[in-house]
Amino acid sequence: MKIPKWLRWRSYDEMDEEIDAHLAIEVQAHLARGLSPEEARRAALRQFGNPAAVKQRARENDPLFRVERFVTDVRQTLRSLRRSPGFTIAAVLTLAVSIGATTAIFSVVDGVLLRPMPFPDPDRLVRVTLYTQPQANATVEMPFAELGFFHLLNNNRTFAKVGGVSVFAGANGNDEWALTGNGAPYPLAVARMTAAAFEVLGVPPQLGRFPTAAEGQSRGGAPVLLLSDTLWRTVFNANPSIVGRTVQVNGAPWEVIGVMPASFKFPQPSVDVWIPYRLDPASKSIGPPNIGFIARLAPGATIESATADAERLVAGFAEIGYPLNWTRDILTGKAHVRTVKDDVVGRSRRPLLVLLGTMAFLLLIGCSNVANLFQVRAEARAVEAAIRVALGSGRRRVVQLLLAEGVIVALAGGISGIALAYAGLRALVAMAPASIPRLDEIGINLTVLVFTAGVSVAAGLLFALLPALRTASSRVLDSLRAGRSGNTSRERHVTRRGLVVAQVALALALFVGSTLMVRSFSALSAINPGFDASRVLTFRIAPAETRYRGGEDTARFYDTLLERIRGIPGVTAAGATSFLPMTGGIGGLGGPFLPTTIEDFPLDDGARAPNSVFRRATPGYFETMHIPVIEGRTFIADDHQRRLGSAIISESLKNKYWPRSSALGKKVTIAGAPARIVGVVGDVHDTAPDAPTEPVVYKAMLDESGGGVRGMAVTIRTSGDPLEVLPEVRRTITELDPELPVSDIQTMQTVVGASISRTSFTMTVLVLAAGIALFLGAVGIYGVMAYGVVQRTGEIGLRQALGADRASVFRLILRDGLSMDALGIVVGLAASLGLGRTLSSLLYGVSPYDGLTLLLGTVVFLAVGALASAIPVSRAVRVPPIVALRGD
Amino acid sequence: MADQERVQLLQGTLDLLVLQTLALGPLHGHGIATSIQRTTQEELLVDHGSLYPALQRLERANLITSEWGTSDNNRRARYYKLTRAGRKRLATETRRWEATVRVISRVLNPRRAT
Repeated sequence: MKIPKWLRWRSYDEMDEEIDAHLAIEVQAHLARGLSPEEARRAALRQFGNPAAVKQRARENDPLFRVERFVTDVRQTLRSLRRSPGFTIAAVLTLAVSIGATTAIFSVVDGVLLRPMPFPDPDRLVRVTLYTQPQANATVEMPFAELGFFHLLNNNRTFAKVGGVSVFAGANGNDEWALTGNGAPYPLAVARMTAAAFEVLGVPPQLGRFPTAAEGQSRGGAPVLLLSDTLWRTVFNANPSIVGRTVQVNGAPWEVIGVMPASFKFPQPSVDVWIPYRLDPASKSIGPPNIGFIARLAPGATIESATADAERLVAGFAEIGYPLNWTRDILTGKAHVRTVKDDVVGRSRRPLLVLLGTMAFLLLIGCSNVANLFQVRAEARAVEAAIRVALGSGRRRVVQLLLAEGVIVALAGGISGIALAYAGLRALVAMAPASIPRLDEIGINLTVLVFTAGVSVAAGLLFALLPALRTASSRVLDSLRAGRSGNTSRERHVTRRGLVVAQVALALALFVGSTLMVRSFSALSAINPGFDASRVLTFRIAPAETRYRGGEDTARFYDTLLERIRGIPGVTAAGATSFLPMTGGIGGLGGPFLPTTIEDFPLDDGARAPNSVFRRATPGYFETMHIPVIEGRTFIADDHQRRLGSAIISESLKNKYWPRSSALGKKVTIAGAPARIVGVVGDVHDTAPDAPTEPVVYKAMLDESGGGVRGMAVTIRTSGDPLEVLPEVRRTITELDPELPVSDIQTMQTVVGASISRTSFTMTVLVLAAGIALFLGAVGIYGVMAYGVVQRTGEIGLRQALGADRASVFRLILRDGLSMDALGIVVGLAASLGLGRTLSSLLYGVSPYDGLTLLLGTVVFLAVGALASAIPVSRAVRVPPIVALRGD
Repeated sequence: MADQERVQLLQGTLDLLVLQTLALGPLHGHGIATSIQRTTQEELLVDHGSLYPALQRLERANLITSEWGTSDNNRRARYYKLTRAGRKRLATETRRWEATVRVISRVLNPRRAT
């Protein structure tokens, strides 16, 4: 860097001129004394000392000298880094990946699992659920019905305050909400909460007030609601005077009493509107259960004491009016009390913890790689450092120069790592399944960023400095001699080999883990869900009660709509069902789970009726979904139009009662009305591909009980891309009912994809991590081997000069690399077994100790190790012995 | 005189010598060096080169100033001059030096102490 003259205290030229003048005067004086010009000059110099050194010392007095020297150092380092791009790229990449990837992953885990919920005193905020056992082998957690809810509310000893939250938006779980009266209906996600629930959660509205107990409890209470911050900003332009105004919801006026803050996302982040949940303490209702029980623990109460308290009360359900079979057979008498956070995070915990472990592995691999690279590099420069010291450079200067390189590489790696962390986090959040809660709360965790950056940079600098310090303190001659003959101390070699072994082991464990996830994913994807998800479009609608009075009106609407949709070009079939498979439902089941009695098989006294999933379906539904018909027929228009009381059952239900005979014509009673079986269809995986299939009873839209269903999922099979018919479908709906909101528009493939998204997400991240680890491991082995081979060039030359043939030398050196690799593989296999056990609950269709996967990992890592060792070795044996012996 | 017999300059005393030399009038670097050599009768070992960093140091501390001039034999040379602050510093440093010498000699040679 050129510093302008005017900035300098005194120009170098002036200083040089002054010193030259001094020497000239001195020479002249000596000449005058009669010395020859040559002698005069030598005498003057002897008297003066070393002019170059004096000039240098004078320069160091300049205040800008330090800046200048720093810039020179940086430029020199950059030049030296450019000369060895292999080291530079490997070190910067490794740092970037270990900082970036680990920070991104940890930020997700931190946002979802570790950060407290945005409620005051979140550790005292609990949710209570009931354990039920609808099948001998399945446990399901259920919310409460009014009778049980108030029993716990009134008689508990461990809850300070109790609130109720509706588990489904509508009271019967399938009505739709929308803002109306202003152009196209705006679909709303609605949550119902009792007035007490707002107080239990303890987050005050940012505008307005909570509902009062009167608004919350009386069944005919005033229609009031609270807006979410998002809805308030997007639809109402953040207008503060909205409080007290009336809005149209489903065609009726509702008063806005408040706006909740942006941080309030209970029970889901997607909620647009909260309305008071009106519960009746005198109700004897035992179902359908739809009340989520949330509470504040009383002072002194713990999760354990609250669980005991809740179980005591649930055990007494029989005394308060629950039928005997509820308590004896359906409920196992168990209650589950846990913090709301654990409840929200739920099943996402394990995959995220696995990712956390992955992050730790990656960071370890990254650090050991950086350490390795820097150490090799520093040792390579040890000779250069020794030469500098020999030529009179200060030892401090030498260390400074070596350190400068470490700092520059660390900075480059750190900065790219931070960029990678931000990009990676965005990618992770975009990729993550919507079922992972609190995704919107995730941001880069700065503490973690600083931590990972600090650890990896410190590892690099430490290992860069160790050899440098040794160089600086050791006798210069030793270093020079060591540098030439290529002997490094055994102890340094051991550290490096240890690091490589650790890297291989960790990378292998990650590789095995990710392979297990890939195999689970492909097993999950290969499951036949019982229907054909390709080229099917679905959405939900719920014709408004104000326009379609009864079940007949609604059924007629569906008939007309489906008929018109079938007429759209590109549509091959259309139908509707009350619950779409794999979209979840009560307690994770595919629909209401109801007691089912069969005429031919009367129950013993007191015995409970077994449960089946209950669904309604229109004509055309099974054809659209390609659910195979085993016997009989599917629904026809007469079934609901003439209320024939027809039912269709699933194959597993048929096989349970009539394994060898026909089920047609038999009578089954579910949801209040008896029905005659007209058909048997194939089983459908209702909740997820890996969940067991449940027995299902389908009924027509209307039956003798009056029946009827308002909200349904429409399914449309198309000949081409299902989304292509969407505009025409929308137009058809608007023609029929301009006020009708359409929600959950998606293809059936998306629905199925979302149901295994947890597996695919974990898999993707693990595969990425394993790929990176494999790469880093290979770089590690290669780096150490390449360095070791260079050190042994002389030995290789000597062996060849003494008559060893290339192949035997090759084998000798290769064995060295492979022994590190093999040791790493052995340790890695052991680690894989441990990792497999942690993963086991995430796996499907593959054992955590799958031999094939372990074998594959072993083969891959042997190959990688062999390749990474063979490249430098083969280069070395091709060097002519005479060149090798001459060295350097 | 052989180098070994010459007196090595104590750390920091070169500044004092330079200030004292300049107290007699402005001089260039070579002039200062020869003047010190002459007054010490060649008993002091001074690398002429070490003079220049010292001059720089003193100038940065505003104890001396400098300007370009012409030497006796018609060469361009930088002439150094004592400033007011330099004069003051010379006085205090001289007193300190004499005190130091007195104390040290008392320790080294108790009988001849005054």
